[in-house]
Amino acid sequence: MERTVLVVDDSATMRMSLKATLEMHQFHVQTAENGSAALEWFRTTHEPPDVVITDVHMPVMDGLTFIQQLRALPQGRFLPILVLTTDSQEERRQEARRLGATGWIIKPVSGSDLIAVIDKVLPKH
Amino acid sequence: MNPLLTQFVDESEELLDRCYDVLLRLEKDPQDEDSVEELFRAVHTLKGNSGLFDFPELSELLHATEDVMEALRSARLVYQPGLSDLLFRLLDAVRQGLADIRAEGKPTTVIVQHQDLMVNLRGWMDDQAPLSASPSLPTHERGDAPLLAMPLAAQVALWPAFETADVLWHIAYRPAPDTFYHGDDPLWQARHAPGLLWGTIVGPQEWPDPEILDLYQCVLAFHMISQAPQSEIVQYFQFDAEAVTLSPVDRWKLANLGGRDALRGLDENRRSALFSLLRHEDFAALIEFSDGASTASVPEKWFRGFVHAGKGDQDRVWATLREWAAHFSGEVLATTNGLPDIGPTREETARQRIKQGRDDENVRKMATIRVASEKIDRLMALVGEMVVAKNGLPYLAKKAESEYGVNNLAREMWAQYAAINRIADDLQAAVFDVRMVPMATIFQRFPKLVRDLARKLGKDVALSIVGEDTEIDKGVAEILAEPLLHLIRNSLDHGIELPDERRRLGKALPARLRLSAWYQGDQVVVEVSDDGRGLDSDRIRRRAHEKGLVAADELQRLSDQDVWGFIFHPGFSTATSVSDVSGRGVGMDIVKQVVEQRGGRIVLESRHNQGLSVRLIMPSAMMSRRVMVVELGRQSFGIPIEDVVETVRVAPDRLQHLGHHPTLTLRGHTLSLVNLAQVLAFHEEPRPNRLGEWAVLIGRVGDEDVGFIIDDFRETVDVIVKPLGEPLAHLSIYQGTALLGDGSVLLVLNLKELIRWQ
Amino acid sequence: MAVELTQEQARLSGYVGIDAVEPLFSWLLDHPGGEVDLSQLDHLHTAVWQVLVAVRARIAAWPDDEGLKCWLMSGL
Repeated sequence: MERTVLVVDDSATMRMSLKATLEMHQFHVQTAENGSAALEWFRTTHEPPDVVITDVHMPVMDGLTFIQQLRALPQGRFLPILVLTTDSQEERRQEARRLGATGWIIKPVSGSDLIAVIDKVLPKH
Repeated sequence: MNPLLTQFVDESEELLDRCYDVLLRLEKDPQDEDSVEELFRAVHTLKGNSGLFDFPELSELLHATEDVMEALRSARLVYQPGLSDLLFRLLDAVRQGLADIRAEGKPTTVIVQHQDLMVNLRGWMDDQAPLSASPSLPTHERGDAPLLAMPLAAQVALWPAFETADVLWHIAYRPAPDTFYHGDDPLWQARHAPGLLWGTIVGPQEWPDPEILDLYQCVLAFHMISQAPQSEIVQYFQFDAEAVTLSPVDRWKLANLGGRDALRGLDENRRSALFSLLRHEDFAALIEFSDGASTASVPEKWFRGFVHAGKGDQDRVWATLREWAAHFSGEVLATTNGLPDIGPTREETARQRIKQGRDDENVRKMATIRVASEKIDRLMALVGEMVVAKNGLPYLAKKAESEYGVNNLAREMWAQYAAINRIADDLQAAVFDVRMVPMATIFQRFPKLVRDLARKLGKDVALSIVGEDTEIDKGVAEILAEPLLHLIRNSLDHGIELPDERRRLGKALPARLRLSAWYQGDQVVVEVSDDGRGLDSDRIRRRAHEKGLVAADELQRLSDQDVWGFIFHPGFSTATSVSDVSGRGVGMDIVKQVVEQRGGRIVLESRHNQGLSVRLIMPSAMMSRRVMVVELGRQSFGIPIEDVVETVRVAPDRLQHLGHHPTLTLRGHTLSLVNLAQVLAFHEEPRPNRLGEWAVLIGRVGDEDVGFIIDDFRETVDVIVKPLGEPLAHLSIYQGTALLGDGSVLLVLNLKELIRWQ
Repeated sequence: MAVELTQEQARLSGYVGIDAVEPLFSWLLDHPGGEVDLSQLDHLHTAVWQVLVAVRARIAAWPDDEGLKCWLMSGL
């Protein structure tokens, strides 16, 4: 069964690149351009994704706030959420983990490394 | 001893007392974060203070304890009973160490036990190769415990890995309870860990009741053996690094893990052939031997793996083999007799010595073992059930006689019953014996308390303790602590005079306060006595009158003993001011209540200006009780036999009615009568027998005899009375319930409360 | 969802995620004698396994997947 990924990133280039990479590995990809748009997507759709990949620094609603809010939704309680960031600060990671992130990926990331991280947190169906 | 050191010892003892209290609390409620916090702070202060002095062992030990506390506090370590046992041992050692400092200037006990305690503490901490930056890492259980559970067959699969790697890694992955809310699936992560050779899931020691299970709280831990390089494992678990501990497993650790089991699994001929190889230490022969097994049993495979993995360090293979051989020494001595070259190496001698130490210690541990009190309680409950089940035999024997007319069988049953009865009695006595603890366990907390209180109150007191070896049931001992505390406080606060006053009265200084315990028949007397003011009978008389407890004209008729009894009234206190030590008048009535609840009584002896002695006379053990079964409203009730004075049957015309209260005159004494059915709100009148006589049980209530009208008397039986469960516990008119031999439940009445209730 | 609940049996197959915990848990409480068939199971979320162990569910068939079977059986 195809696994669905929701990619949240304010950069259109990044969204496009991730979408292409993930689709190559048989993922179904949804995108949103910031946390607020992503939450909206959750509220209106009945089929939550299998995993969320989110940037940290985004306008309107940043990644960490998004994670916090998503964890408060019933659909988002147990979802694997990966933070995709150029920020390699240990404090930031710990903050992300505390707010409910499952793991993080440091940008830039190769396609295979990205898939490896997803495989680690998301059982194959 | 210099003042700073004195100060340190004093303060540390105080902190230790607090630690004991908190640890006891924590034992009851491991989830209590406040307790953990308090314990941490106390240990932290202890450690900090110890650093001011040159007691390296003490400091190191406290430091390690603090690490454990810190892990508990940050929930990286889950509290377990085994841990509190260790902490109690540790506190004991530190306490004794402090006493040593007082006596000889150094904490000898701590120095002696240091090594052992450190090893144990570290066992809880898994301090090797931390994954994350945190200084200490969590364990749910002793580091190696999950490895010890690894089956031999699983171990076999690890040996080939040692042909290419020097160490494998034991990954202990203990996800935080809230891990699911991070989108984690720890089982998935564990299953896909790099280089995985073996893995196991470890559950909590005790599973919560399914009804109250928190479905989304992770309680499982995962243990794995991996042959991946450390860096790769660290990388893999980077998202949850705090939850993971790595410890290296080298071939010798694995050898120790399964060696003896493997050897035991070898065919006996093979084993002795193996030991005979020790004679020449020819490694090629050893390899040939290990390859030449005729069966592919797991132990053979294990052994082959061990030998091949050990090629690089043949000396150690031989040393290890010799160690194992020593364990099968019976056979070994026979085959290696007269071998000069088997003398132990230095390393081995050292190892031997360590092992010997452990064995000695094991022997010592055998002499006294710590047993969780729940286990003893369980044993008690079982014995109780057994006593009850035993009581079923007489019913059966009677039935055999009366219903089936098999008198011979009945007689044999009686004989058998007598035998079982005796054994049950012995068994019960033995279990009670296990529950006995010396009074010292209670007394030992008071010297410090007395010292502190006396200082606070400005009094000069010498405490003496007598009879601390006197043994008493653990449950009774525990409930005595609080009453004794009240009594001691009262003595210090109200009984013992200030030094000036004592001098004026020509009384000795320091004042004497004595705690003693001794046996009196099958009872234990615990006494608190002082040489202070004693009870002031006149003042108590006045006070009782003011409180409306007694009419003025009765006052002078009361004996001193009667007057003293007033101090047990709720809210009765003659102290004019309320101090923070005592004097709120809540102490004595609670003392009395607690003591009487456990079947004890209190005796006061007071002499004006010469002192007061309060004796608590307690049953020394929780014995089964003899109760008389009575019938009432077609139900059975029990009345403790010690409350029963006599049983009579009276014709209705012998009853007199004074107002509403019927009375009965018996041998010249007039007794008030109580219609038990009425008190218990049965809507039936008592049933007289065929001759129209009422059954009246004369019971002792306080100092008075009261007649209770019932339907009929039945036999007396030995039962174990259990207190009523929670929803009914407030019904004080019942002492508890007891199971009868026929399986029915007997409610045991509390006559005194009945009268009050009425 | 890869959980099939009948009167006698709970059959878990393929991948069973954390969503299955609550329905499975109520089924287990309602069917104390019920059996659990894991033969077609590829993976189950930790929370799901935890519930099965906590209520001491009767496992009628272990996973065909040897790796998973070893993990699950090792801890009992």
